Amino acid sequence: MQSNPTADAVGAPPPPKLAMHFASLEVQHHAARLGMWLFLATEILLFAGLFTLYAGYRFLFPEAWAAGSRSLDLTMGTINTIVLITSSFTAAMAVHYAKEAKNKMVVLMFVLTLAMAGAFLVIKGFEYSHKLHVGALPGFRYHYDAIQLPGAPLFFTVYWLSTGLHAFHVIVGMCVLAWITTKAAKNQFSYHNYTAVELGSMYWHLVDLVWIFLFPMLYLV
Amino acid sequence: MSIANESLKEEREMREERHTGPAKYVMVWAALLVFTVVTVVTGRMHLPEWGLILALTIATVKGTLVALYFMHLADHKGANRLVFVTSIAFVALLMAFSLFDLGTRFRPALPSGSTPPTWPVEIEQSGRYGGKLMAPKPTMEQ
Amino acid sequence: MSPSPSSIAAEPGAVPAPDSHHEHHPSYLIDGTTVKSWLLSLDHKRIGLMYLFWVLLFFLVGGIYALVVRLELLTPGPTIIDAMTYNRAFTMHGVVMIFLFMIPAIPGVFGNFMLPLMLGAKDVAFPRLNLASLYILLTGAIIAIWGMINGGMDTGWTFYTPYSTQTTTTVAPILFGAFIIGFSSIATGINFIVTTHTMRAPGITWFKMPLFVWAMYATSCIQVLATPVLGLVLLLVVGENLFNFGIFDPSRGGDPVLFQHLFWFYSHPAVYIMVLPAFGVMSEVVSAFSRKNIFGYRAIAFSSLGIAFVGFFAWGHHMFVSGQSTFDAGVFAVLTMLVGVFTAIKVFNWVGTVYKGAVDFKTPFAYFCGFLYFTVFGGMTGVAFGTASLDVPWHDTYFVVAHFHFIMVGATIMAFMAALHYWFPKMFGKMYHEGWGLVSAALIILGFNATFIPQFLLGNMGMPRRYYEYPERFQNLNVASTAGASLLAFGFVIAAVYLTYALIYGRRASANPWRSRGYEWLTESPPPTHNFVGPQPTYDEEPHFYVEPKKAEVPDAV
Repeated sequence: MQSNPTADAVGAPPPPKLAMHFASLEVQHHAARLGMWLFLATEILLFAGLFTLYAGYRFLFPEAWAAGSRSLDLTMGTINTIVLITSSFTAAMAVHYAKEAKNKMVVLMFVLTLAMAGAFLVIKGFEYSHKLHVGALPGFRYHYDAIQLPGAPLFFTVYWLSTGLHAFHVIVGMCVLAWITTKAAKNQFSYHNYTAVELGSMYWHLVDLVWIFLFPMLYLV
Repeated sequence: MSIANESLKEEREMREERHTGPAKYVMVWAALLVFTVVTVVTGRMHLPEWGLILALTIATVKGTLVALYFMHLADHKGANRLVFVTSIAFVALLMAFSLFDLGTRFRPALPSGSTPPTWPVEIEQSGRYGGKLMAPKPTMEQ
Repeated sequence: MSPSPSSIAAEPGAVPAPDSHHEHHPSYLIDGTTVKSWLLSLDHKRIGLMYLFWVLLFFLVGGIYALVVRLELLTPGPTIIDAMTYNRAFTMHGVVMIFLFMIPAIPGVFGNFMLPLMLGAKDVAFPRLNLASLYILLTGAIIAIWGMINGGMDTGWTFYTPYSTQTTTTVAPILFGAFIIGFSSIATGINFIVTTHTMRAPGITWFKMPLFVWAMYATSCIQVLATPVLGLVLLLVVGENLFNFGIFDPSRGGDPVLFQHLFWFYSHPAVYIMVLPAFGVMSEVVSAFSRKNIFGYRAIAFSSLGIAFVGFFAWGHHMFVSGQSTFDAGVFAVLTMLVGVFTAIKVFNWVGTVYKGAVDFKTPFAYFCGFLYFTVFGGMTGVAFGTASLDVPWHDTYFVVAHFHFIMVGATIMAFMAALHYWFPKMFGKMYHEGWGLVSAALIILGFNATFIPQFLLGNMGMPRRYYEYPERFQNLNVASTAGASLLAFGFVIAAVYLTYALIYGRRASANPWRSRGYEWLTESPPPTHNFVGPQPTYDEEPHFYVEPKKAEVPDAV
């Protein structure tokens, strides 16, 4: 709803466009934010299914889960957690600067966020390639000799599915943030018009939120 | 009178939030990093009984911080909060009933090779289908 | 209190001047006549009509599958198709009817069309998302139909693992299509919730919203909360088919019952996605045609939310024979009864509304009568099913088939037809022939009974569902059921004929042919593009405000 096609000027950011069917800009902003929260609720419930599978199979195969968890690279996982939390912090700062119409800082913050998101994916890629190498693959293709317990393939199935789905969300979030960054580069945001930054940032925080739970579940306990 | 107020109230709350500045974000960020270190250190210890509970508690605290301050749930009132809380409640609902089922199911009906810990709740599992109906001896055990 | 400047000028409850503005504000039907102006329209009314077109088409497809299944069951042995085709036919009947008709039908068509009108808004909150939801639905439908043509699927609409991961039929594209359709459902749900929160006209407080809006709101909550879980589980089954993870494979430690938990976490509340809009429609219809205030407005509004909430606590009653723990089964059995309580509140209030009303027995009211009967009958058998011990012998018999067709399909079809007739003048500005309307309503209600009452009996006698052949002694009742299905189809054909006729040759409808007090009737028929001409009407009265039961003089209707 917030797309603002004309923003070539470098001066003051343009006022936001009010869609014809909204009573006022406040209502429009409120609607966009509530819609985003509802969308985030669907994302939370999407991951809920995987969390349920994790919990169920963890209950059924505690030994395999403990062994599988120990086999994951805790250092890489911790670094990734810190990277993602920090990227979330810069995304939050971007909203702060957008409200103050400091579009250059918004760009900087989002570029930092994107760089950390890229780093997250690269580290994840190293982990994945290691798993591929030793054969800790989901389901049928599992041939990791170090852990041969009933349920071990299931642990790695859940591991691949949940981190894979999360990585997919990271990529989607990067696309969204990159798109908003281009808008910030055109000096579009101000206190009256920062909905896009806020919503994009909220999506990124959700990605972070999911990882905050995935990290201890998979790597720690 | 209805909607206008709902939207205006939220706008006002967001405006007040504006003045708090980035210091808050830095504090939240620092707290999140501290909690990450704590959870990694305690996770390394492989605490037997309450390791899982501790890790999940720390994760919940971290998640709450992110939701409240980074996602501005502390400033968004009303419907936004309700949506978030409801979604979490339904995640809990889905997990609770599914796990109740696995925990109280007749043990031979669980997947082969599984070694679940004993469930803290005392249930009648003496017979077929988990009831008191006695099963024919040889067929039910693997 | 901040009334918009435009609303001050209008008299309370005034209908905006009907014909004087017509030249300047053409109705939404003729405001733009190019194909593009329809296909890319952001107008909620046009999107609603496009939904109507597609949903009716899918209903036809699902109906043809149903007739094929019924014809096959005419004789105990093979009749017209082989066993594999039969398996595909009943699966496709279920998939098409549920995902492409029942779930999008009332929200997509009447929700889209009426919700903004009832809230005094110019459009839904996110018009582009609204248009996108239609095309997402169609994309999913195309993928699913492509899968149906190239092999079909024989698992039944429930896709239970491990069979759905082992069958050689084309499960993956159809499930992927259903996965995409889920996004459409979510988009509609988000849109309606936000619209209800933010788009209400000044004066429409939460407890002055029409009951249809309450029902749509509750439905949308379910769509938002439940659909993602189905999306995940469908993706997992697709993944199982393509990559063979073994996550639900019991031979590799997987638990198929866990699949059922995830599946029914969506699919039980999905029943209320189908039936709550029906309840909402009927709350409007019963008040309008009894010429009486709705009885217990708040009770109906809250029970909608109550059903949406409690509906999430009952999914395990589909799994009483799955190997689920007896403890869980017992808990679910008790919680299932709560749904009956909330539904009974609604039924009580509808009956209370009709009581001492001045009933105007038009076609929508005829459908209301059918609806009340199907809801009570289907609901009572549902309560019987909710007791775990009774479910065990009835499970997977035709008793189940008849039960859910009564409560889910019967109620929803009745409401869909009632809504179509009640809002036909508003949507198209034309009147249909009342006599034919009553005839077709009678045929449809009779046909529905004739189809499914024999199935209740068959199920009670032990005939299992989804079987290709059956013993000789079941044939009489199966013939009766097929005959009933033919009658039902005939009733729909009549409705299709006279409604199409009315669309072209029908007499012009006035702004409010039923003298209804619903907010959606405060604008013209058909409404102009942005819903209101001139000053916006004010909403001083309650939505179902009939001062005293008085029969309306209805000059337009035949």
